[in-house]
Amino acid sequence: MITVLCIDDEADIRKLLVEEFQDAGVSTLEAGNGREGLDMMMNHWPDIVVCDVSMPVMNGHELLAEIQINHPQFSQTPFIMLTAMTDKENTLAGLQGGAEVYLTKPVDLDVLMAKIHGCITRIENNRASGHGL
Amino acid sequence: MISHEFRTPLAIIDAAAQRLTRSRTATAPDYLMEKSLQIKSAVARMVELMESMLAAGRIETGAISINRQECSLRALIEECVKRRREISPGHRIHMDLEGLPASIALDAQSIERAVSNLLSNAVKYAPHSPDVFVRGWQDRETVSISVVDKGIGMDADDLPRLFQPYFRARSASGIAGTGIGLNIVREIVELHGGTITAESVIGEGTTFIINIPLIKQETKEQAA
Repeated sequence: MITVLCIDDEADIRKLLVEEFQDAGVSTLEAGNGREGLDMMMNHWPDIVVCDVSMPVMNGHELLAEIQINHPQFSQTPFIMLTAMTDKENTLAGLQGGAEVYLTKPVDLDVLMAKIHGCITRIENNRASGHGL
Repeated sequence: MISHEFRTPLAIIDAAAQRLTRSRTATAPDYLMEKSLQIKSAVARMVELMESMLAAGRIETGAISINRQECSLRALIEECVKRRREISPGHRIHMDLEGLPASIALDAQSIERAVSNLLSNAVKYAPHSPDVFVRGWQDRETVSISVVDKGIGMDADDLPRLFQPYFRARSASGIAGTGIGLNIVREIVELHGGTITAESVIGEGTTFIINIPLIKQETKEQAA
């Protein structure tokens, strides 16, 4: 089963996203900031990460940088940024930092789920062909 | 940054509504109630933010004025706490307001804004420490209100600039905020002839104390 890790400091946002992912038949993990998210990644190896940008302790950009520099084993894990930060500077920082896509809140859940399903298809195809993602 | 502050509660409202409208089966009453509470809490958060921004605008243009009228400060604080509990159900707000006088001449609307801003701050900067303590008391010619959280606190170096407009403490990095709330509180308190103090220890929490002088009858009449 595919596992999605949802990282957001807003508990209501996490809850709504987790419900949506679970309805789609995926397993979910939750974290309230980048540091907790990284711990979750190291302990549970999620297949996809959905991550906010502005969070205490470690923000989304810092988590992406931490993955790229110190945890390359996760560098191919699809990383979806989902944030209220709509400015170009943050968008470019997220995409250049390695995010798969940069979505802004409020998000159309159909669009988010289309992206999740796209990632799942790719992961399953890679698994079927013997390539890890 | 202000756009970001609005987008977060909007995202909660929007996602909750999407979840409800996308449901293909009859919605269970409990689920309906849960989503309604999420929406209600996010709307209350937006209203608070909007009122803070309006107050900031009035302060900037000098359009804010104080209209003192006898009111129950205790009831006013209880109302603020009730609203905050709706917005932040994960926090426990403890009140000790027994020491407040039955009635005091204040501009209720602006003091309500000040107390709401302090409660909002206490909750926001204590995401993992759910207990917030609100106390009110009278000491001779002064009434005082303290709001204490056990949250992230801030560096001593940041305290002198804490009430400046748009200032954010370094420890607030990554926590959404506009930096206008505490400036509004100070302006409102000073318009009442009062003072506000802050004490904080990084990693241990922050205490704000508002002191407002009880105005004498003749002064009240002048103010009226």
